[in-house]
Amino acid sequence: MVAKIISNFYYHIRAMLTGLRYLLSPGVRITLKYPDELLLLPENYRGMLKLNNELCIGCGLCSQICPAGALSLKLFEYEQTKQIRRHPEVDYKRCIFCGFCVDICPSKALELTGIHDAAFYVGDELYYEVDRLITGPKIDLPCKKSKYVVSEIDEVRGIVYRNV
Amino acid sequence: MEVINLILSLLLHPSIFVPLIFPGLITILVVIILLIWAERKIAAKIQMRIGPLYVTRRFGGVLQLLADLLRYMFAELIISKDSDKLMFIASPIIALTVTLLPLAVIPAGSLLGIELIALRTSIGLLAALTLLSLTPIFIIVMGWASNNKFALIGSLREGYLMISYEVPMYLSALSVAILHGSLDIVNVVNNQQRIWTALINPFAAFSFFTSMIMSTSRFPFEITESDSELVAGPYTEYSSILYGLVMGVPYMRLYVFALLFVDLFLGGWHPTIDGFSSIILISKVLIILLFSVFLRSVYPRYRLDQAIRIGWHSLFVLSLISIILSLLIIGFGGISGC
Repeated sequence: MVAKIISNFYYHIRAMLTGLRYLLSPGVRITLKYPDELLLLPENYRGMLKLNNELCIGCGLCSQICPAGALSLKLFEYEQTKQIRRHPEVDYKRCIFCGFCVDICPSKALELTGIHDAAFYVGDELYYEVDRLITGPKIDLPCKKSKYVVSEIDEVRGIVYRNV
Repeated sequence: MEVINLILSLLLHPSIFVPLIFPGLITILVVIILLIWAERKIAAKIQMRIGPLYVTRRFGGVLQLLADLLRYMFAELIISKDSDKLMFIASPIIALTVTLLPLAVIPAGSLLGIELIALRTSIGLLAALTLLSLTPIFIIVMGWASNNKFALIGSLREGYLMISYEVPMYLSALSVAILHGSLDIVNVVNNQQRIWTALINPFAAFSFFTSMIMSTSRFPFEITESDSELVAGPYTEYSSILYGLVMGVPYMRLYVFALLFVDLFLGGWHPTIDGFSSIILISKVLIILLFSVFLRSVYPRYRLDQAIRIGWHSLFVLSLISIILSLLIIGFGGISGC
């Protein structure tokens, strides 16, 4: 009984000392300060879509393969030539960034941009019509001093970020 | 000139200076702003995060809580349709007031020759404990008046916890009174000039400290407002500035308890510097406060039944042992024989 109480007490003290050790150890932090530091993404990172309208044949395979039903084909009228063609539109409220649409595209008209940091003020902006899809997404970061970093595994600190 | 002197003498009179400036309202606000920041920073450091940073970035985000409070001020106050409206609004305000009341009878040393105690009586310890036991009642009222499941369960938990921490806390506080032969806190503090009570009777100190952690719902006893199960316990329905008030109540309670703990067990303002004994006291209080918030990052949360078992099986027994120890010390010649 007494031995159990003493051992319990010892474990409590040990837990507090462990906490204290972490508190006093210098510089072990694995937070990425996001707008200031941007993670350099791998080469084949998927991200948001961009449409090359010259190549698109309007076959609709992308909207058929899409597992989330995010892509749909719409008739699009070109302003200069008054030509009407079928092009996909994407709803990022539904998109799961799987990249199937890019794989299935027979004419390689859809491509992945690797950009994922897109924030919107209005929910409707998440719906990309044909002309916005042709332009593609662009990063609009609030911080001018933001720099790219890469993550590395460190044996002592876990994850460290190194400037590129 | 006479008017200024009059105002100054009024302001520096203990019965106004104590509740309003030190150790009362203004000191509490400053301490709470620093304390919550320190709590978040300590937890962040131990969990390898950064914590509050972007408000006053140069100072590590000290004023984050001030920004939060400002946000509460301008948020909409929502009072649900089926709540008991009078008690819903009144109970946070009463709880806050009642939490600050014990400061009138808890001595805080002396500053520039002014004795900082608003009301010195021969039963100061009993009065402080009684006033401290009033706050949980209003927390229970908050949960009842909200007319919300989570709030009701939270306030029930507060009630269960209350019966398990109050008895050991009062017994261990009274064992100090037995040891020093006085219920006047000033006498208790002055008796500790040679040796602190925590060193003579460590059981009482441990029992009181654990009950104090339990009553202010710090980890590992953060059972009342367990935000992973009950949204915010009794405070679920509160919004806007009322939430700012109820969020501050446990911290103010912790501050008052820490003041009492330092007075009873850690020698109050001894060893003292002439004229500035309050500085010694407040630095001890800050150490106790920082330790209490440090526990958040070490412990997970106990279950309700585990906490009640700790209250009755361990703390109650410890407080009884502390009373017996005090009686034995008195029997063998009192504290002067130590």
